[in-house]
Amino acid sequence: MAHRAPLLLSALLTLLLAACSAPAATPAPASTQPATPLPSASTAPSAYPVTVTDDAGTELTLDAAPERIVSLAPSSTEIVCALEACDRLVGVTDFDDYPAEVADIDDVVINAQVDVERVVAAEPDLVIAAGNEITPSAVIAQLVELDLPVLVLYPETLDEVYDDIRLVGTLLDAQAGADELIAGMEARVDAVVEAVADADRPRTLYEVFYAEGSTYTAGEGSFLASLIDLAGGEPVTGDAQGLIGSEDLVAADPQLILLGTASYDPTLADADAARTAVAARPGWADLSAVADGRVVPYTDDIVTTRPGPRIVDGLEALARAIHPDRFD
Amino acid sequence: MRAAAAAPPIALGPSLGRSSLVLGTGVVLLLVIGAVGVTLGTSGVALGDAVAIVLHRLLGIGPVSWPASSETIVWDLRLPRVLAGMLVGAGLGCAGTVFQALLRNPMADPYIIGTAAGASLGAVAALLVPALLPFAVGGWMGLGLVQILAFAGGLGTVLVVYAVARGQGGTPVVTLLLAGYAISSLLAAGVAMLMFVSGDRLAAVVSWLLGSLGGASWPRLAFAGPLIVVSFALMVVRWRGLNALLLGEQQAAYLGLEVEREKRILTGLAALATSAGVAVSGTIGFVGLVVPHLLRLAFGPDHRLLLPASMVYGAVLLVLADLGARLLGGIPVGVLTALIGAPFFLWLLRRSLVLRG
Amino acid sequence: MAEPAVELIGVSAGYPAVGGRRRVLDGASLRVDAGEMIALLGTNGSGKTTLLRIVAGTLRATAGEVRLLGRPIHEWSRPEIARRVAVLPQTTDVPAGMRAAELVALGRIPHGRSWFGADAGDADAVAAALRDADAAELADRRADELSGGERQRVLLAMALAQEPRVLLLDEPTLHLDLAHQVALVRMLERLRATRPLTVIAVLHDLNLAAAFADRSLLLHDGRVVAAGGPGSIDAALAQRTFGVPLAEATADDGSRVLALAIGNRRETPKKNEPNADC
Repeated sequence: MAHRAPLLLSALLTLLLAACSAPAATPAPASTQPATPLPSASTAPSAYPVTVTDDAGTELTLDAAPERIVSLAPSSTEIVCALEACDRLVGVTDFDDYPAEVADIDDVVINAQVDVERVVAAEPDLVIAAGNEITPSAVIAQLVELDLPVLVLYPETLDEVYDDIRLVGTLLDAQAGADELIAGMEARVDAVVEAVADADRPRTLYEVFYAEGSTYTAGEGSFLASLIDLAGGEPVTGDAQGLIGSEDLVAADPQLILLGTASYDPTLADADAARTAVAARPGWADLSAVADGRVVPYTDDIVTTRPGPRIVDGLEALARAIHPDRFD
Repeated sequence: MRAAAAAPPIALGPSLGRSSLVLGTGVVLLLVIGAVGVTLGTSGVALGDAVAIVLHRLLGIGPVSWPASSETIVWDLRLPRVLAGMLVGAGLGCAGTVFQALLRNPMADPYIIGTAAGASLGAVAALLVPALLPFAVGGWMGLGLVQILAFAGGLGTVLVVYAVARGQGGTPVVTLLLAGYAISSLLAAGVAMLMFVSGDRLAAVVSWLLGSLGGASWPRLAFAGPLIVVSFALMVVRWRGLNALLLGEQQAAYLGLEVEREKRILTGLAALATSAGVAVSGTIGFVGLVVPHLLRLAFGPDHRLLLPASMVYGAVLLVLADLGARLLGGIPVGVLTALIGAPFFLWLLRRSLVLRG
Repeated sequence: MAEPAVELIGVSAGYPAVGGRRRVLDGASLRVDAGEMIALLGTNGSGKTTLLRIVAGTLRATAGEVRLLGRPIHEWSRPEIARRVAVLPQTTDVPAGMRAAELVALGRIPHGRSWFGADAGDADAVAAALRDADAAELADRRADELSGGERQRVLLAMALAQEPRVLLLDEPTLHLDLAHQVALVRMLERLRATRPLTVIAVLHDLNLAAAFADRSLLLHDGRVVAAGGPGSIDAALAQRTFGVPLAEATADDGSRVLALAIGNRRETPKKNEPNADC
């Protein structure tokens, strides 16, 4: 269950600019000195020192290629590994599951709690944190205070995912790999957009979380909403946090319901069972999607809500769920 | 008339030997647990290194034979955390004793008349509006806005509660409790409202409300340490007044106590210690409620012993609970204080019932 | 003439109440000399307890003058008063888990000088107080497990431990059976022989007052309406004050007492044997 919180948070990509651009949490690293001398400093290419500005607006300078990277979010882990630097990771979260080899790396985030002691013990020369309180700002401040080089990533759109891949690529001196990765992603996005271009656009409710009459779906203007839009659906959105009231939901009358919750709740994995469960919720039976039997257990929530390189997998999964006829 | 010529000397309070034993045992226990707390952690710093690092930093002795990260872990993470646990635990224990004596209410704890609600509102507000005040940028004296507003909120609320409850003929305890309850409810509603609109920052809010020593650092200790130590010292020397209050306010006045003045001073000191602690660690429950009760059951109600003992054992309980919380994957320390303290307390409660028949 | 220990001159006092103050004392005047034993009589609500609080300095007079040992009471600090005036109230909380000697030692609080603990003087004072209150054998008992009579003696010892010049007793016989009432009065008489005490006791029992006190003061509607030696309180006045028929009678020892003049409707019930202890 503890996994739900960061997932929820990463799913509810909102425009809390005030929150994530607050410099309070991440004053510039005092000295930008790495905590420990780099053993490989002599082999560093001439690209260093390199300075970047992260998603929190903080400048970070590395004097040499990072050899010991701690990633505090699965999306960052995937970016590092996609840039073929998986072997440089010395700390990840206990929720990391991709690629498979990261299972062998020490966990420094357990039950969504950053264990600062383990982070320090990993002797990192780069810590990649997540913004918007996915990594608590208090923890980021603490890491900065301990003179660790912290990079905060918090992409809220596909373009920002590309930017962050480029950012990490720059720090790892892997710009070429980053460009190649991004080009591949862009091509697949274009293919999806093309495939659904002239299709009907069903009003689509993506269920992030449901409890006792409170439905969380894609937030207004959120990353998830933009993905549904790209995948050829008309997203039914809630407020900035994704909460949609029962009456608003009935008024919005979704034509398709994707149960992202089925990724975690096995009782919803069976389509018939899911439909029965959903129809029993107060007011749901009359929704077009329920009446027409278009309630789909959606089991690709992880790639759909994890803003890393596999976000394109998520987009393709969404498009297949919304327009199965276009992907035979 | 009976002659008392050869009567044995009458013990007028906890004997020096007994007090020394109780406090000495506590201090030794605290030092041992503190040493274990600095030595053990989730990372594999060698046991010997931890001790060597502390000695090296304190006394400048011994050659450096450990990785720099070990020094950071021991000196900048574990030691401040252990010391913060001692300070906050001692502050809560002492403040709990004082509030129970002042309010003559077995359910009284350091948070009862508004410190927790006020500090929570302050901290949650600070978490949600980080860019509102210039303090937010870079903090002040190593303190974040959260710590400053938590401290101000806790102390300020007690002042307001006291002002509201104060009448012509003094500040009746029942009025104080009810005013504290009402104002706490009001502020709790504010906290709930802020949580509702907190959106993505909810996780940060919840983690603060659960309380943790994870954010302990030298600057925070430098802020809270003197406040807590000074308020301790001033509380301990007021043991006579607290003892007099055991007999009720009227009788305390007959024993020469300026009751209203004493209540004001003690409330202020206890609120100060509590608020400073809350600023460091968030609201950690249970310590301030149960440690005083536990010690009263075990050693009697004399505040000469009770006050210092509640500090020492409050510190022991919190450092121990925090060590467990750290080793068990960062579960909230308040959960562990209750897990460790409650069964022991229940055992003592049962035993005292059995002994009294 | 003896030194005055307590003087009240036209004292009014009361408590905050809805819509102003409720006046309880209304121009009360009295003078008690050092070494006197005074019984304070009066109906419920006549201001007896309030008068004790005035003398103990825990309630401020709204009008009039209060003098303690010849000095205006507001010139004494609270601890200074507590070293001279001790009060045995009607009810006192007895904290759980305290031994009787520790409870008595609380009476030393106004004398406290050291930062920590008690000194030899405290120990002597507590021992003497326990002895004088016939409570020496209770010293090591738990105070919250004492019987009513024992507790009363221990609390009296606490008051004596203050080494007061003036001892105020608020209905000290309230919960005591007859034997203990008499024992208490005898003890107070003994105390006066060994200590320089002025005693003011609120009593309900006119005969006990007559037996115990040098003088009785009758309080009515916030004023002292009569004062006098044993038996000198006018029967007619007392009858008006208490609202019950009273008659003067002559006791076996020849002293005059006031007695309830209610005819026996029934056979007088057999007098209960007083319990050995409560």
